[in-house]
Amino acid sequence: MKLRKQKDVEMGVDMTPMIDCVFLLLIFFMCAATMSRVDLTPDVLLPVAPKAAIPEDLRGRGVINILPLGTVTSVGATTTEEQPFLVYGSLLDDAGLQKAIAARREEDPELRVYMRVDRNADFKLVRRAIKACAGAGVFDIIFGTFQSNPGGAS
Amino acid sequence: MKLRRPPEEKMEIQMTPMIDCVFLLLIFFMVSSTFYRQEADIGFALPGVAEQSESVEIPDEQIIEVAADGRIFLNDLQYDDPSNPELPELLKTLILFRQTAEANKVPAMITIAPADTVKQQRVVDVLNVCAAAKIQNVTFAVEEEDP
Repeated sequence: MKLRKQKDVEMGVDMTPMIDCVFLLLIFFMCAATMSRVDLTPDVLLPVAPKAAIPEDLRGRGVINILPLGTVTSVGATTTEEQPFLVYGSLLDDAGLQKAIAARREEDPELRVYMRVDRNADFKLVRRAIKACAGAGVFDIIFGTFQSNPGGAS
Repeated sequence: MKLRRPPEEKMEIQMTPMIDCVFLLLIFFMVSSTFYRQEADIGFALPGVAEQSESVEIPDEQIIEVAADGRIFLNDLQYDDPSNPELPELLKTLILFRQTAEANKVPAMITIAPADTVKQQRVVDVLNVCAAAKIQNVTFAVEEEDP
């Protein structure tokens, strides 16, 4: 009797589950990237405070960036005595800052101001920003810091 | 004559270039998501919030002055070296202050009064010591400098 040769079974790697996983990871990172889109300009070199707490809830924060006077920002503007506060890429004076905070507070009454002050900025700028916050009715203020200083940059 | 049927060609989708692209995108997002360093909070509250407090307890308040050259004064006494960011002497004093306030059942309160030209790092050094001493009520003397 003649036996039929069995057809060779093709050995193939099934890629579908891997692609599923990769797409899932991709979508996760895309979402995470858009969620953390806040006004964190890299121009600001934050001070170091080892006892500072890593926040869990980042919602309801209005960011004010304060750089040393005369700093050229990444958007090309230079901070001056009159306009030292950097908010979403534009430099504001005291009245403009107070107006911007008041407008944010209208939208969110629980607003907390997150001040990203450069470690080499003078405190008089912070004092002016605190006054603007108080004028706009916001009393909850947080300073941004790094917990450690691995680069050792000053 | 009998004609042989040509063998049917298998239709397959080429996945390799797509996987290449997806991996590239994945690696890009993974790398770009680590550009920013993790930031931490150090908070304080303006005295305006305490204004409406109905509490009759008078808080035990201390004022820490920070001079332009970084020297720290508490009750007119200088603490630590201006170049020392850890401020161990001030930390010891603040822990004692907090313990005393707790024993007297009054809130411990710190007001920081920095000079105009003090660098923010020095102010944060003082805030850091307050956090280390577990003092929650920290505020700034804002109006004091007004002419």
